[in-house]
Amino acid sequence: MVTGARKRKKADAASGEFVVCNRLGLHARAATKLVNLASQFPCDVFVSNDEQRANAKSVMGVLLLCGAQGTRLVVEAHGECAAQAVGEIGKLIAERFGEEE
Amino acid sequence: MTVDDVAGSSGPPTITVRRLLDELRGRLDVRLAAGDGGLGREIAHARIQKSGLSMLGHRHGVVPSRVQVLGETEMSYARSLGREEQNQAADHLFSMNLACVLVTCGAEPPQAFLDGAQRSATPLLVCQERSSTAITSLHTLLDECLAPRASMHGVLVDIFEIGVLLLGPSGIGKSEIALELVMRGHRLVADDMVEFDYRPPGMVFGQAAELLRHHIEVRGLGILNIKDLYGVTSVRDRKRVDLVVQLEFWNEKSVYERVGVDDTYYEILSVPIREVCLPVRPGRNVGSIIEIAARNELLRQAGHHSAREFVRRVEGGLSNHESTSEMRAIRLPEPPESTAPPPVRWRKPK
Repeated sequence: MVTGARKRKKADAASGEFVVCNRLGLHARAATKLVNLASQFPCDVFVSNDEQRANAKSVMGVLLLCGAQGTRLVVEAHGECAAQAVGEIGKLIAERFGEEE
Repeated sequence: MTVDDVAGSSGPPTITVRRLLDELRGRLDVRLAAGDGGLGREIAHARIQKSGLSMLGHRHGVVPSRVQVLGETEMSYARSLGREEQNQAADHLFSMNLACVLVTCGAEPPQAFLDGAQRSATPLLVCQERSSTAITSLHTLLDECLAPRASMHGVLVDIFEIGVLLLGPSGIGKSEIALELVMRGHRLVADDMVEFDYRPPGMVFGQAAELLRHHIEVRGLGILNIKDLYGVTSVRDRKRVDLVVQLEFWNEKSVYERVGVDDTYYEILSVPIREVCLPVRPGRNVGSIIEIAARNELLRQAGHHSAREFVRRVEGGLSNHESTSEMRAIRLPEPPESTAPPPVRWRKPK
């Protein structure tokens, strides 16, 4: 479920806040899906938790965030299709990365 | 140019006296003599203060969040005082809400000081070592704990002991370049996420996040462990950042450095680090170019600036009045005659 999603548009920049809701959290398979999706967009995409900020197009950085179930992630994008990027990534997180639980 | 997308901690870093004491126990023979109620107080400064005059009531310049050190001189003064004056000195010292006080040389603080510390909940530590040793240990420890930190997306490699930070958009090939450099015998420090910390004077060190150490991501292959694949000489845990390489996709309209006389700098944690900008295009061996950039940086550190020396020779030839119609061929000066005796070949005694 998407909680507290905010979309700010300011000259090709967008951001949104999402909560990891699948049981296994941001594990390797989920991280790969996120990274593959983010890599499709021409804009720069970053994902951060409370402490770290990682480039969403690189799987090692995203795995480092250790996003367990319930972690609040902020997705930011700068450049072309920024809003679309944030929207689609948010949707992926909300849909539990395509997993059952 | 400054770092825009660096994630750093908000506000200056601090350390509690409790944690300082824990860390100090491994380095000094130190104990807590009084004031355990104040172990939660915070130290915010990496340098100590030795302001014995505060015992006389002269508090000017005393910063409570700095560790206060009382050495042989200060304690011998305190011991020379009468009971009443000792109480006064203790009052002066312990009414400043100090984070912590360290007494060195194993001196036993006077009772008035112990009482004052306990009353004001100011941690009073005593160590056996002399002031100079204790202060050096404290400074090293505080530098480690309070170092400003930041992290960013990039790749850090050690090429000929030059720390080269590769920056650029995703997919440009930073990890692949690092892999090629490892295959040439250089060392990977961090892939994807580099954590920086500042050390005085003016140095920035980079290392990989604990979880990612020795790993590299290669699209199509996945995550590889470079240390397992190439051995211990292919990785390095920590390296000072000496050169920043900005990679970008070749752009017709961009202007790239052609002569290289002027230096540009990239700032990390307020430290300017020399920067070069390299265009990436299929067929262009960027790994080799980066290796040469590192060699050039070594040369610069030794005092030679190739581009500037070249330009100086060219401009020297241009301003030469003897030749007006054509540029004279530039002749390098002969190396000076060596005045040292020729080297003696050492012969192994029979």
